[in-house]
Parts: sequence; C-alpha cells; structure tokens
Amino acid sequence: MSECSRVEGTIAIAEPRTTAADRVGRVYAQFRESVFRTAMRHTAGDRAAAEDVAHDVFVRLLRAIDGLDDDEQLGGWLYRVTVNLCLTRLRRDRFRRSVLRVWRVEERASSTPERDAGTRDELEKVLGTIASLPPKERVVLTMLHLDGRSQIEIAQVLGHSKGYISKLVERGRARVRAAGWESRDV
Amino acid sequence: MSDDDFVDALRRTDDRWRSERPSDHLDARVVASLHGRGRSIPALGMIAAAGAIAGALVFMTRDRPAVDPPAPLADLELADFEPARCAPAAESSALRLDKGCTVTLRAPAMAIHALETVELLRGAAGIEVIRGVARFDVERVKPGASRVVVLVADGRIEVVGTRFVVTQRHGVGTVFLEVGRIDFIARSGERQRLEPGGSRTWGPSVSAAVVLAQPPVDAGVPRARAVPPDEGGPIGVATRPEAPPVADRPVEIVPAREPKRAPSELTPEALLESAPPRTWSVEQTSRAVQWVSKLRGEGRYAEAVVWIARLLEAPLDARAAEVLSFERGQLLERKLGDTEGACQHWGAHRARFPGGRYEIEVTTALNRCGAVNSPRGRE
Repeated sequence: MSECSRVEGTIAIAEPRTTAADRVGRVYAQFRESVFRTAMRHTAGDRAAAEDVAHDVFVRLLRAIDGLDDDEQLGGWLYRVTVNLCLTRLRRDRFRRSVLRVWRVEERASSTPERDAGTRDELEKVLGTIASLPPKERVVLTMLHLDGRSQIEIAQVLGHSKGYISKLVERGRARVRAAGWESRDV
Repeated sequence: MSDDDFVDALRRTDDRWRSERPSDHLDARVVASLHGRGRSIPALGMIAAAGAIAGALVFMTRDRPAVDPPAPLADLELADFEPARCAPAAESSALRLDKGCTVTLRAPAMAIHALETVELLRGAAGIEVIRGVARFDVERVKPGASRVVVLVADGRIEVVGTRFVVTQRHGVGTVFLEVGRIDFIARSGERQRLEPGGSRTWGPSVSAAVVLAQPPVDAGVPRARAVPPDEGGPIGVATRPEAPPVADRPVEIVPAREPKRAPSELTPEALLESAPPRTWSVEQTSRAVQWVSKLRGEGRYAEAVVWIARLLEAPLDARAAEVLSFERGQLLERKLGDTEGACQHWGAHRARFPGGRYEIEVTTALNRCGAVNSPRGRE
C-alpha cells in the first residue's frame, strides 16, 4: 500500500480564514516526502523527474483541495495524481529516459563505492528491464509489486478495467521474462 | 533467476530510492508556484513553519530522524533585480547575471553586482559563485542581524559591513576586499585579517558561497520586514535558531563544500589538466561522465553545465561528447530555465553533431527556440 494512501497524522483540510495555497502548503509539509518517494519509485529513481512530478502534484492540488473533504480522500487523490503524472512523464520522456538510464546507474554506483559488482550488475539489469517496458506496463508492475496494490485498485487509479490491467500485467511479465528473468509460473 | 527474483531485485532497488529525500529546490519551486512571485512573507513563513511540522510528522510516522524544515532557497526570489531584464525568466536555484546586472537581497542586506557574467547557485548552504566575477556589497551587520557567510577554501572570512569582489574562474577563486574588514579564518583556526586592498586566493575545485548563519532579525534594511518569530522566518533564509545574537557579528567567509572523492577519483579539472592531447580512455571518459552525473544528482545543475562545457573542449570520443552535449542542453533548458543559453547550445550541438542520435530532440528543441524567439513567442 502506498504511503500516500495512508494518512498518518491529522490535518485539518478546511480551516477558516486560510487560503487554498496555505492549506496546500500544510499538506505539502506533511506529504512532500511520501509523494516524492512514490514519484521516485514510478520514475525508477529519476530524481529530477520525481521532483518535477511532486511539484506538479501540489500545484494541481491547489485547484482540487476544495473538493477533498477528508484525509482519506486526500491521500487517495495524492497517490492517484502522482502515479498518473508519472505515467504521463514516462510516456513523454520514454526515448530520453532510455538513453539516460546508464547515467543514473553510474550515479547510483558511484555514490556507493562499496557496492560490490554483483549488486551493481543487478541494479543495472533491473533498471534496464524497467526501462524496456512500455510506460503503462511499467507503472502497473510497479504498483503491483512495490505499492502492493491489487489489480482492481490499479484499475481504479488508472481508470481502466480490471481485465485490461490483467492483460498489462501479463504482457509486462512476459517482457520481464524476455529480458532474461525466468519465471516460475511458465 | 526467477520472476520472483526480479521482484526481489526491484524491491531492493526501491529500498535505495526510499533513502532519497526531496531537495531544497523542490520546496522553493512549490512555494513559488503556490504563492506566485508576488506572495507575501507571512505566507512564506507559514510554509516554513509547515516544513517544520513536516519534519516532526516524518519523525513520528516514519521512524526516521526529523528533517530540517524546507531549506532556504528563495532569497533570490525576495530580491530585486536591476535592471528588470536581469530577473530570471523561470524560478530556479541557479541564476546567471549578465555583466551590469545587480541583485539585491533583502535579508540580509546584500547586493551582488555582476562585474562579468556570473553564475550563482543557491543551495542549502548558501549562494555559491560558480563562475564569474561578482562584487558583494554587504551592509553593516547590526546586533542580532543575520550573518552573511561566503564559502571559500581552507578558511573563513569574517566581515562587518563591507564590499568585496569574489572571482571564480578556471577553478581558482579570489576574494578582494574593497571596503571594510575581512577576517580569513583558516580551517586550522589561524586568522588572517584583510585590509582594504587585500586579497585571498583559494585553490581549484572549490567555489565560493555566501550563506546566512543566523536568524534574520530586523537588519534595518529598507523594505525588509521583520518576521514575527511564530512565522518561522522567510523560507528563503537559512536559520540557526540556536545561534545567539551577537552584537556587530561579522560576516563570515568560510570554506565551501569540497567535492568528496575517492583518492583514485579524478575531477574533470584534474582530467583536463592531466590528459594528453589524444582521445581520452574509456576510464577517463567514464570518470568525467560520472562527475557530471554526480553534480546532476545533487541538483548542482549550474556546475554541471559549466563542467560539461569544459569537458566538451577535451578530446572526448564523439559518442561521449554527444551525450554530454545533449545533457548540457537539457540542463540549461529544463533545469536552469536558461532559454537563451539553451537555444545557443542546441544550435552548437546541431552544428557539431549533425544528424546525431538526438536529432529528433534537438530539432524539437530548436523549434521551441524558434517559437520563443519569434515576435509572437515574445509576447
């Protein structure tokens, strides 16, 4: 389950005599890290992209916050918008991301010089596999395996049918296997 | 390797991402977007206070140490640019001032004059002079007022109301004192006082940075507003509430961050100096790319741009040069908001790598430049 969907702590969304910007500011203070981390996850560790997404999420919240009645709605809204903005970003940057992937791998590797070669290879391979997936399959697999979402929940967040999500999961898994990862269920 | 292995590997990778925190730059961007450039200081104070709440909430719910409130970045947004054309087109922690431009900060009272084109970067530690020549004109620091700290190598300089010029060029920096007093305090603790006309030089790979070291109590600056304590101070100011106010506390010039590197790791500077005039080895190129990647990862985009420009003059192999060149254009356009610089770069990139691997992106970028530069685009 995503951190964004869990509201830990209490925030009064509707306070008298506060502007929408002030309220969003408070929400930002509480959720900035969880939104950022969700974006990091769905952009495969692309820090710059994750920050862009996080920024856009809270700018959008400025227009939406009046319609969000409670913390639960807010958490769900943040998660949904974050994931969808990541998806949009992945689609837009697909070509460039694949080119820059090596940079990011090197960046991670160089930032932890004690990491052994095996771990680095695994990291490169994982990122390479993720980058090879079409954006929607990539987001769906990330939601499934990292966010712990069910296929029904994924369908709701992305606005698709459960059947379509199942198909995306299968396609994604097939690509993962094709990338060299064997699968027990084949 | 099984399908589960992929999931496990994915989760291990995700664990690494979890340790990443949003940067100060994000805070500044969000604040700017929520409140616009004409926002009020109370609004900023509220955001800063909310940042402190965030730290507490993270501490309580994530089982991790509390993080600092959103670190200051917005000083430059609280500044006046003269002439108006010098104001940045887009909010960014990086700022390039053309010769003749002046930016005046309100708290602390300080003006930065670009004697030549100067690239400044506002990070969590303060304002860094990435490259160029700038004169800092610091008003006399009143009791309890914020300190201004200029980060240089191997020491710090304490000043009370002064005017000095910082030059950062080709990896070597100098501070030249025009008026006032500067105490250069070496890391060893040795103190050296500079008198007007005196100077101090520091070595390569270290930039100068101007930071604040105390809460911005009323510095007596025209148009600057004292911020009530409960507002937490404007987000654009680095505050260290634990520091007691000291009468006539001087401005400090202290060491800037120095890149941490393994003994065997070469900076691009060292590579540029040591490499023979032939195509670089894979290892040399890899180190150069890693260095730029590291700067980018740390959000030090302006520095990355500068380094890439220098690296592109080195005997890199064509493929690495093209990747670096493309990255530079991306940084200029997307991270620094330097449309003019980006357009110039894209033109140079096209000329150097005609029909290259980024042809589509470069063509698109040049089309954007055309739209921006057209009469309609300027409206």
